[in-house]
Amino acid sequence: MCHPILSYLKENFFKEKNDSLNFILHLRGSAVVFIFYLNRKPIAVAKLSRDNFSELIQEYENLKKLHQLFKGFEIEKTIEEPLGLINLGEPVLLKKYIEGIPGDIYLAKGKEKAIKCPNLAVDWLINFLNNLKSYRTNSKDEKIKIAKKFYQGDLPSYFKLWIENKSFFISPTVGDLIIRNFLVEDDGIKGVIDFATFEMKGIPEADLIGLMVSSATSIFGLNAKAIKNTFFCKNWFSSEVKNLFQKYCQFFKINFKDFLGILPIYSDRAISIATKQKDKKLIEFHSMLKESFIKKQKQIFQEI
Amino acid sequence: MEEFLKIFCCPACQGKVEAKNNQIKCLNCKKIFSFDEDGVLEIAKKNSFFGKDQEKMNELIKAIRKMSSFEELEKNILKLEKTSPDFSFKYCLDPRRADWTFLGDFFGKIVVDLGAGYGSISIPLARKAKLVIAIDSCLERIKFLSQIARLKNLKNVISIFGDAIKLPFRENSIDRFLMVGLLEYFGKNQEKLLLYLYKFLKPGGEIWIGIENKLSPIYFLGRRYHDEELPFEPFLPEFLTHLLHKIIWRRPPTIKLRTKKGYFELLKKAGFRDIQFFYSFPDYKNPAFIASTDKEGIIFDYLHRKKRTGGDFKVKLIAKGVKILDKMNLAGIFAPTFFIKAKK
Repeated sequence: MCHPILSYLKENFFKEKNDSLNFILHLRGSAVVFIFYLNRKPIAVAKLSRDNFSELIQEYENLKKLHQLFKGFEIEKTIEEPLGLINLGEPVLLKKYIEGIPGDIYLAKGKEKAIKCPNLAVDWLINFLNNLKSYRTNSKDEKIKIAKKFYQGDLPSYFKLWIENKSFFISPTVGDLIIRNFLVEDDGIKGVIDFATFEMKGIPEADLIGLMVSSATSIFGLNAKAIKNTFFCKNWFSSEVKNLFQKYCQFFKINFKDFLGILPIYSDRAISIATKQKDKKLIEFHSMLKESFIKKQKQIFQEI
Repeated sequence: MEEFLKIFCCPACQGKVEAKNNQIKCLNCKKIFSFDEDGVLEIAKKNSFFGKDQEKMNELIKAIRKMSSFEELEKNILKLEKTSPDFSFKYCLDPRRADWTFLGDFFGKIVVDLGAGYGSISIPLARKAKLVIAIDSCLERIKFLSQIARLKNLKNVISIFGDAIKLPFRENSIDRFLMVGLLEYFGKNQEKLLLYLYKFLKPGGEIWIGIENKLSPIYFLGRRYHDEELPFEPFLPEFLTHLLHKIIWRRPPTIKLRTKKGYFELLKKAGFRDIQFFYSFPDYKNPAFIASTDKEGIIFDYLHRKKRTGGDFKVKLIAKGVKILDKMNLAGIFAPTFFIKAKK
């Protein structure tokens, strides 16, 4: 077996080991992923891109930065570990393999896990933001700059609310945090993957809302039902989402009503990401969600 | 084009050629080969149309000819899919169909894609290769491919309407031959074809084959490779298959599938070395995963983890079957399809 990535791994990481190194090429995702096995155990993954090399390079830089930022904190253990970015004609991002079930699959295994998983994820997010509090700012100018990234033209009232209200801050954020990127076991979060969209100055509430929306679509599907059951209904899931939003607001001293007022910001960010990915279904879904957030703002978490 | 002319020779007499005004002229036998309006170099004489509706396919090409960018095509995909029964984004343009090429090294190489079809492999590969020469004996498909290369502004793709048994190359000039879904159609002549291709490869050059396994579990369930095949045909003795084909379709069978051992021996006989198998599940056209070995239990491990990550009942059942086979070290022997790499 002489695949160039295998040769690199052998040469740089497993030089002293004569054991057999093999791989599975996993192809059902947005990127091409090699899973490397040493002695029948997965030990590393290599991520390659079909066409967006810069995203891969960015992800590597982000992972290095995150490990620097979290050095000495417990949360560092949950951030996936980059082994290197190598050039084999194209960039190859090598990372340590993390055990665990993707969050979207974990929470689909029953009500108990559907409650547990978003709770674990929100705790992780609060911890993430709290560990980086020295990087926070609520400068109006900075906020306007960020808002303009996701919204062209005159800023609507929900962006103005976010800009004016000092309890909303700018912070390092994952950028496109979804429940699938949490690798979970019954005893907790094993790791978090995919930091390609990490940014030093982002909107943390958008990550929180993204977590809840992605949890909802994992349970109900990418459809109107997911929106209704999560935000415009009274059921166990919407109660859980409401509780988690309140928990976040309490921790960061944000007025809950104000928080509900900025929900469409998440949709703008999600539409902007989906547009870049040319994902028509996601654009459609997030546009529908945005419309609901704006038109039925007063009915959020009420039975319609 | 300059790179292409270095390896091109007259397909009729192997003589030296010169290029002039969209034509290639043999300096020896004086034959002229022209690039048509779609940029296809026409070498073959007989068109083997392979599809559902030739007329609609030509209308599709006509429509694409008028487009000026790939984005324009992307905007019209749904409309084109509706009007052209042979066209689907997933089959013709999805770059994921070329994902298996991540198994090998194609950077800076001269690659010949035999039976290139709509270009689902040639087009994405052009990003890595020095030169991709796509060859197909279906004129409509190769015209489509050529138009896509134009829309994507790929200057290193040469489209040839030609035949795999009459190649216009100098000996020892090609780095990689690709044959995905093609070798099986050469029936009894598979060895002859491989021997023929061998001489065009540079020393150390590679042939990559994507092909079905004769022992794929689907054949045990009576599934046929295509319409002109009998259920359970891969397991019938050759003489009986021949006889039945003659009686039913009045011609000999066109498809020949082999086992892993069978392909290994075929390639070895044709002079290839370092023959390596990759096990592609559930097929080679749109693989979900490809394993580098069938010996280490990694297929079992991968599927075991995947089991925890969902999938419908059918997927779960198939995965269970593969896991059982892998436990017995048989997942490779009974893998549905292979990618095979062999060196000159």
